[in-house]
Amino acid sequence: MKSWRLSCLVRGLAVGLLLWGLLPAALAPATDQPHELLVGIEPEHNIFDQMERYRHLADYLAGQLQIKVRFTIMSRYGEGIKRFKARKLDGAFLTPYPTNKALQELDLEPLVHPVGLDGDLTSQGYIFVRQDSAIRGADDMYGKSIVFVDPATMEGYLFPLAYLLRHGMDDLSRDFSRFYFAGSHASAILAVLDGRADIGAAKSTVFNRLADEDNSIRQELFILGRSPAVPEITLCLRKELDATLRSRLTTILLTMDQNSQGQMALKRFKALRFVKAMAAEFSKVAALEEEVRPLLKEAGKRE
Amino acid sequence: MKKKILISFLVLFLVFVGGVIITLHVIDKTTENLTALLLLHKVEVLRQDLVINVQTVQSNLYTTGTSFGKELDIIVDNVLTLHNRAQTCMECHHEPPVEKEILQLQELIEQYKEALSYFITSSADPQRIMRLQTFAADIGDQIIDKSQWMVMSANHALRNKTTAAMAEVSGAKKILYATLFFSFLVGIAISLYFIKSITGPVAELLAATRKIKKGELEYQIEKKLKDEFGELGGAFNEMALSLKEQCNRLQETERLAVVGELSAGMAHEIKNPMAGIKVSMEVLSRDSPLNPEDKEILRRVIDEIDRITGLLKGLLNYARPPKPQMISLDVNQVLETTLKSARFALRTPRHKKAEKVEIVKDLSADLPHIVADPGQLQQIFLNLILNSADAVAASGETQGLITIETRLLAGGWVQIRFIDNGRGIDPDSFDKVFNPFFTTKSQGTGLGLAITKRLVEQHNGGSITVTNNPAGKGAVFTIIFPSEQDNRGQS
Repeated sequence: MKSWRLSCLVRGLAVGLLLWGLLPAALAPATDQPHELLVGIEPEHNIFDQMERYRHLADYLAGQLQIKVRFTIMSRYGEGIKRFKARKLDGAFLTPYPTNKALQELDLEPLVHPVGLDGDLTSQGYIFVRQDSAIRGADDMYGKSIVFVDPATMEGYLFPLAYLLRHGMDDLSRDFSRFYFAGSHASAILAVLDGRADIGAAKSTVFNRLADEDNSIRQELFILGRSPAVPEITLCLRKELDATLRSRLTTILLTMDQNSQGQMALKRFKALRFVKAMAAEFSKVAALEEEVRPLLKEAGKRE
Repeated sequence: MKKKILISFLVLFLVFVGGVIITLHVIDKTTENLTALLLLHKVEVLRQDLVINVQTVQSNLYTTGTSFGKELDIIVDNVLTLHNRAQTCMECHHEPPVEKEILQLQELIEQYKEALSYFITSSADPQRIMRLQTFAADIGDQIIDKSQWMVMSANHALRNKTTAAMAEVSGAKKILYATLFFSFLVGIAISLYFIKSITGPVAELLAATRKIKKGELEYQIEKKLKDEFGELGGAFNEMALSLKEQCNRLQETERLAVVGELSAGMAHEIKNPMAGIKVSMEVLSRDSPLNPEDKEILRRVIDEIDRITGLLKGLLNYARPPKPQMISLDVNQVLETTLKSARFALRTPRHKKAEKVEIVKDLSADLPHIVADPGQLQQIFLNLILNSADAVAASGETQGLITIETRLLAGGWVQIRFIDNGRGIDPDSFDKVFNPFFTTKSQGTGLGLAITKRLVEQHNGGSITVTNNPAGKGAVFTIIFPSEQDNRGQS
């Protein structure tokens, strides 16, 4: 009788220890949470100042998420798409055209947009010429030189292509003496200002910022055309990323203007707040892409 | 001396505090100089780091797009490190020309960042990219040149500052040594002063002590000693005087003891034969058939025997006064009783001449009781009244007067004065008045006042003095006894 009781006690203890050992595993989340969040950034006017701005945001997010958050700069627009495909990014702050492309070609989720200090979160494409040039319409452009920003930009490539197409110019090599990509919006603006190109395209936010820094830009450049406004920057995340993490990140970003630490980080990031992003916001970009698809195919063949 | 010691300690303390302040100042100055030098060395390291950073970025610049090129993130990190390094330079305080150079350097770095960014993000034709690369590289070279020039300037400044700092440290060391030497000198001076101030008077006091030890009780410290030593010298002189007085008193006491013993022995030996002679003389005078002339001779012999017996009795009284039986009593009452006896005594043949002397009482009504032997007190008062009466009679004064006065003095002392209008006392005799066997009377034994003094002094705190009457002629005997309350307090 006594040995039976002892046996029961030993069995009970063994079962208890087993349950104790299994308990943490049972309570753990089902998905695998990464130890580091790697987010790409597309280049702006000065990539070093840009990295400085994003560093404050990374520090804040790391503090809130309790994981390492690292931002990596990309040297070209559109490089983000390649890196997403190579699964080397968890997310990226993308400009409109890469965002639209990523939504179409990759399984990405548009998360949030930063709202600029002027309260605007959108940008639009400008086509501009020098005031002293004789170009005042599409008809005056034939035989001139034109500078684009990058093939992966809506404001610096899609929109000017659509503009040209609408005005009957469907062959860049034929209709222009020279066309090239400056690599950045500022470079494209400066190329027209310096006379290295007759016609230029760039996004409004960079144009206005440079014009604010140098008043002569507004006096010397004449804007011929403006594209529809679309969200300038969108944070997109891989959908395979842990859902809890994505949800937490969204909440943190959308509420960071409601606490002093977040407000400080936003101030250094030069934004007022983050707002929720919707895939539908990029329908205008998709339409533009659709409009210039023949020209894009032609350009693709040449490359 | 206490004041001098305090002042000296204060001076030493101030010198010490001064030394400490100078030492702290020297340490502060030296530390400040060393800190400045360390800072300069740190700045030197920062500038060298800056040059290395620029060279690293330049290397990134030239290898971008080649197989040796670094990832963009690394290049960005290097440029940001360079930027932060330049920012660090501004955190320190600089002279205006240096600050201007640093601002120019920072401006160049901002331009460098801009140019690099253009170059890195540019996708235009290769010639333009080459131009952007050259432009950025030129700015980088300018930064290196400027940094190296600043390093050379800093080195020069560092060398000058090091020399200046070492000179200041050397100067500070001299000041420190001088302060220590000065403090040492002040300490020595103060010590010497105190040694001289203490050893001189101590030697003087020691010499005086040795004189006293040798028995020179009249020796007095003539030298004027300073401070507390002056007070000590005064006290020493007073002590020597007191010692001399005590010694004299002791000698007197010893002398009296010898006289007393001798007198007591003689009186005892003489008294009995004298009684026998007196009785024989009286029998002879009464019973023998002698003629009146012979009987007169016998009567004179008997009178002389009585005088000798009285003298012996007086001697015995003086040598061995009876032990007083102390009780609380009223002095005025004892005086009244004594006066009755005195009037009776003044009618005897011995004081016949003083019979007409008037005795006036001036007794204080609120006199407290004293503790005394009533018999001995009566004897004292009677002696003094009879002595005054004899003195008045001897002066030939027709209106002889003795005033007896009692008063309560401050401190609870009771004073009794016997004032006569007789001849007074010769100034040379004041010291001898109370000596035994001193008398100015032809028939006096010289024991009355000596016994009186002995009896007064047998009473606790009692004393007797004599002076000439300052208000007129005659003498004044003054006795003082403590009141009963005061006597208990003394007991």
